[in-house]
Amino acid sequence: MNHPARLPRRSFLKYLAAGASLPLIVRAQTLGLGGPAPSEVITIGCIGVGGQGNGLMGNFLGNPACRVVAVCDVDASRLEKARQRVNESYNATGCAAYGDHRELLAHPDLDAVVIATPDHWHALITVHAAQAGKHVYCEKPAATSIAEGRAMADAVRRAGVVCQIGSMQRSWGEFQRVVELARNGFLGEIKKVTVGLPAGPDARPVPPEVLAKGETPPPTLDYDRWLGPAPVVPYHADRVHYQWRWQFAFGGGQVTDWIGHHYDIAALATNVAHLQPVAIRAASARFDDIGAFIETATAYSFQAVYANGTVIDTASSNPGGTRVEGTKGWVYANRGVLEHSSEALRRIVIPSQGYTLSAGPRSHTDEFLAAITTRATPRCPVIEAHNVAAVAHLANAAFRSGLSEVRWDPTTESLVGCPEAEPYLHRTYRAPHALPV
Amino acid sequence: MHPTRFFPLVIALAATLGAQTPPPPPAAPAAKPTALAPLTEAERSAIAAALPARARATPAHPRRVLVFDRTEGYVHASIPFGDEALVRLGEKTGAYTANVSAEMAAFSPASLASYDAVVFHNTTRLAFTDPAHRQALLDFVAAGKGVAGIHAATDNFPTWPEGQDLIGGVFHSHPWRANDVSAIKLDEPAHVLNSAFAGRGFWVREELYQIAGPYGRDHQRVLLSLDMSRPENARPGDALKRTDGDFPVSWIKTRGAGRVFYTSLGHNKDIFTTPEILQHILDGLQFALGDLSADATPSASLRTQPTPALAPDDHTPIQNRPVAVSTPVAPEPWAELAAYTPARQPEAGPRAITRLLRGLPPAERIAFEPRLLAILNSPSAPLAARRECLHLLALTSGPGAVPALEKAASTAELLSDACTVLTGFATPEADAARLRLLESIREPDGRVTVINTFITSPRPAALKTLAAAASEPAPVGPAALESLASLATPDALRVLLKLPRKGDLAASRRAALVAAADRALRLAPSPVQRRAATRVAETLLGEAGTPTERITAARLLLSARGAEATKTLLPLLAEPAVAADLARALALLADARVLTLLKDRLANLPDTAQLAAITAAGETHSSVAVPFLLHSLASATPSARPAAALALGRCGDTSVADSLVATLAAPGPLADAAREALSRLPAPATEDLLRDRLAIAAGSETRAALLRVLAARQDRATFPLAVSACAEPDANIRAAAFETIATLVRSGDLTAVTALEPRLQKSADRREWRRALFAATSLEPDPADAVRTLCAVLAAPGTAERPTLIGALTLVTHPDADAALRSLLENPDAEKRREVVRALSTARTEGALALLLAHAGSSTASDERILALRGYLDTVANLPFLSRKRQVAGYREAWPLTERQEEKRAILDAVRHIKGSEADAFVKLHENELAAP
Repeated sequence: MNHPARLPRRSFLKYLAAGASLPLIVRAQTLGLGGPAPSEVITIGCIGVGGQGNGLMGNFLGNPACRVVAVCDVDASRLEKARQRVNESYNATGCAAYGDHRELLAHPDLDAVVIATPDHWHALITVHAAQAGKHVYCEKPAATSIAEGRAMADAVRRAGVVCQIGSMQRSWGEFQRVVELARNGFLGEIKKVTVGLPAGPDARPVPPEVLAKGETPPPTLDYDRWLGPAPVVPYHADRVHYQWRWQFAFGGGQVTDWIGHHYDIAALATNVAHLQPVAIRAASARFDDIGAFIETATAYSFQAVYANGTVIDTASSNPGGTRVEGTKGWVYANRGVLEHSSEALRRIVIPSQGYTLSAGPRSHTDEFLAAITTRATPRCPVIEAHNVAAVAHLANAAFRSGLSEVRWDPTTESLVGCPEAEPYLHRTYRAPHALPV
Repeated sequence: MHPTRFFPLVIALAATLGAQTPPPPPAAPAAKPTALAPLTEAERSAIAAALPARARATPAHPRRVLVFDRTEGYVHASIPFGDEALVRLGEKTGAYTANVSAEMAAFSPASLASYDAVVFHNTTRLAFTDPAHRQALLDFVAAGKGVAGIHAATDNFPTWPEGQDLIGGVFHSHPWRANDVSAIKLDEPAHVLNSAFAGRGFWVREELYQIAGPYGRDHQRVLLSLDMSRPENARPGDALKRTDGDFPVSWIKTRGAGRVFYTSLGHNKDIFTTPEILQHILDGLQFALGDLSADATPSASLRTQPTPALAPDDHTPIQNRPVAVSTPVAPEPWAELAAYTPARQPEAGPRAITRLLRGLPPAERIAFEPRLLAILNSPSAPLAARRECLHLLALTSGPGAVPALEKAASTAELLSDACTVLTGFATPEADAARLRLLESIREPDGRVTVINTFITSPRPAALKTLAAAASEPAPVGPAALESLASLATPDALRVLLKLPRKGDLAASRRAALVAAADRALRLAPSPVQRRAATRVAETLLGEAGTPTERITAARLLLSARGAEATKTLLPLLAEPAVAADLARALALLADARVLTLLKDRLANLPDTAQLAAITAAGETHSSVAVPFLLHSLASATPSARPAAALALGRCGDTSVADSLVATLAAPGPLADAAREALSRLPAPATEDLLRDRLAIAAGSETRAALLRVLAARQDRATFPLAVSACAEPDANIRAAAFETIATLVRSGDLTAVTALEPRLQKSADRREWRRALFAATSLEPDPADAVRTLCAVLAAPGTAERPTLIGALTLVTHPDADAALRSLLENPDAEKRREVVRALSTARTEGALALLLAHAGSSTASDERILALRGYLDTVANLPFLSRKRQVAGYREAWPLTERQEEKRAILDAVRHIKGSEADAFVKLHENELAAP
């Protein structure tokens, strides 16, 4: 019986096997580019500088291969804080600040943008950025509907820019291990793939008097712009700034939020990230009344079935993380956790000529910058993120329509039968916005 | 694994559990639970709301249950809740009728005879001294009746072992207190008495017991127990007396013809308002009554041990699992829906109806549509209510839906919602409605809203209207363009082509044109689509305003015509802003002629374009790219060469190996890239070739690199070659050789590795040799052999690496290793002993940790004690995968051994850097023992 070892991430590689050799890391510097000349520094604009955006921006601020030259947010106080942070970081004064992403996209000599807005804005900004010739790092999930994800993938492909989606677990050792063991055949024939995503959120009841009163947006927030293409809902502080993800107008709840992490790893491990499922089966969800602004499922489970027979079991009651089991054993990973079914499996070193994810820069954001330099396909390209997010959208459509099975045609990206699920796959953009296809 | 070594606490308290009982106290009068306040109406409702709808089994006869709540010790405040729940459980479901009593007279044989089961509900310290009562109860069960115990039922019969044995265990202590949230596992997820938990473990905020006494898995069937795999369940110090990690919560057993059910749940009041737990209790009671048959074979006797269902990651206690918010359940959800505004909670109205409809099969939902339509048509219904009804129509989707949606669309505020739902219908009727809306709505924002539905759900019939709209000013025009692009039919393409592309609108019209052609091509790559896309691309290549537009047009042309498009596009390679992307796109074709063209032009391309082309070629993983890449390997551009090497690693086979080997001696990035590439070429031919080259290669860099590549490729046959290379004078080769050995070491290599000890010269060698030695020691199949080998080298004169060898010894789990290390530590020569202590201090193993601690406590020489202690502290701070909890525990064990302020300070400083409550508690506890500096 294998006992879980809670491993600090920095040292988990030592845990793998006493004889593990670290894979050769290839950085841009390895290609002889050395430190970037000023003309080669990648200029970046950060769109969406709230909780996640500010953290991402920090990664880029610390990297000499790039320079943050502009920030954009619909919340004026966050915008100002970000601008100051950038200037302090470079000990300079030149960071531009915009309230409208189209203005940021017109900033002179901008190479790339980092998008960390709420999900309902991802598609529009990514498409505009690609059409403007900018490389894109966009947070996961790709978007809030399959049509949006398709629009993003097509726009990126047509414009030839690099687009990395922030499924950064693809760059983390413990998850790379799951994928590498599975793809190199060390688990044997894959028999069972189990993904655990979070349940919840915790209850956030909204007192009746708060609902009745209604709220006006603070003067620093351009609420109309915050809503963007999403339908108008009355403003409440509890709806925006992180909490938006529990409302279908702006997100898809935990399943959409986390599909780009543990499920994405399972899809890579079973080599279906370039495909969409042909069916969602055994779908069931609980929608608990835990707050007026919490609409999304609080507990759920479903199976995603692919044309090649791969089945991925996903549930909020499964242990969080990704577990892949084959005829020769199983491996399980969560953040900072890695377990193998046997000591022999733990000691396996993936030979360098096998399938490996770990070559290349260790950090997800660094990898994005390296991909820009060589125009390489990044570690989590938008088309794969779109395919993975589609699973969440289909699952949510099943949950909301009460169907336990939904069938899907990946080629035409349309439902097969099950018209009851159709309404939940569509979003009508709010005028004046229109989705560029 | 050395768990017992690391925690050398003596846990041998088994003998102290159970058998010893304190002398019987004098018979205590009952502390009446009725002294507790009676339940309020709200509390009663809460219990009622949590009761299951029905019992799992139909009683064979009408059943009578005695709920006995006498307390001669602690009085649980939850007793009124439990009494109410137990009574109502039977009453509501018909499983039994219950009396509640606290009188010992209930146990007279005559009285007992009228019951089918007795529930000891939070009874405490029942002396139960009357022999007649005792016998009556034993006979009761033996004859086929039932006993159930809730929570404190195991804290009774202090002078009556048979009674304790009947229940199946004795309360020892409760390390898990009432406010702790603890993880519970289902020992047997499929057991019928666990049905309430739906196959999943859970968390519970509850006081839970450590059970001692006559408990055992060989006596009873355990249903629920503490999930000790969760660190939250661990308890510090010696709170947990059991060494087997078995902390049961619910169990059943048989006794004679009768049955017993027990659960330690029942301390907190909200246990009795939690549906799953009440269900579990009812099932247990029905088992005790004999109505619900369940297997009670003791857990240890099961032939196949069930796989437990562990607690989930979500720590929400089962009592907090939300079912409904605290607002009262609406008596009439339809009325609530009809009156709904954003100022009201949505649960009572819209959500209740959503839940209702969603739970029905689609065919049955239609029946509710008239009620939705009624609200929609009602003049007094608020806007928000009507909006919710529109969305609910998506669930009912009956005959009245589309007309109602079309009608609602005439209200500006409802247009968007009506459109969304209509789009979801995807029927000819809904399409016709959308089209009518498109033709009738004139206000710009409204038009955009309707047009947006044709973007995600295009329809050919809308073409004419959309074509007209495309010429309108923004925002309508651009939206219409996108809808035409989304339609992507030849007609739509024709419309888009006809729109004049001048002025401000030019860029968006061009983008829509490309999108339409590209989309059509992607969905149906037929010759017709290809021709159409080609025409669009060629037209736009001429018109394109920005580099990105040129790239987009170029890519479209490539999608349409593939390699044939190259000739047209070649001139674009001269444009720097476009060159990189075009070069990439061309290389991705993996076409031999295109690659030849690129090869010929490579030197004239800007650096970025060269890099892009080379990287893209690598991504094709195609051998067709090899000639191009070999040429690029010799490029004049410095950054191109390493990129080419990397790409060759992905595209080439063994035949490119020599070109790469030739660059292994090049300076810097190229050699690194060549190594990476050689480590990726396909097996097994590559290993053979590389070993061959290793034998004949002359240069030090090359040979060192070849060794490292073969190691990365996990080529075992290189191991003996590396062993010989360890004897080389060249430091570079030697370092690579030791690295290779460390990487390739396997079980059985220990002797070979130890034999290399004399070859070590530089610190790089030592570092890798140590890695190899530790790995080989861990992999050695026979521990005794490992000890022999290591000790032989240690004993040999002239062995320099004694500390490393001693460190390796600590990895072996075997009495011989213990003996060897002990004798090393007991060497009469103090200097030698100190050497061993220092060796242990650098070993960084768990084995060394235990030894250092022991020596810090037991050595007679104070300087040695201090040395050992410091080595121990150092190791705790640096041991690779020690959890925070174990670190703190490690420091805690060392504290009593600190003799000087320096060590105390060092420990406190270290613990201050550890996050978490355990660390904080430790610091608080001990910081005042520090003298002022």
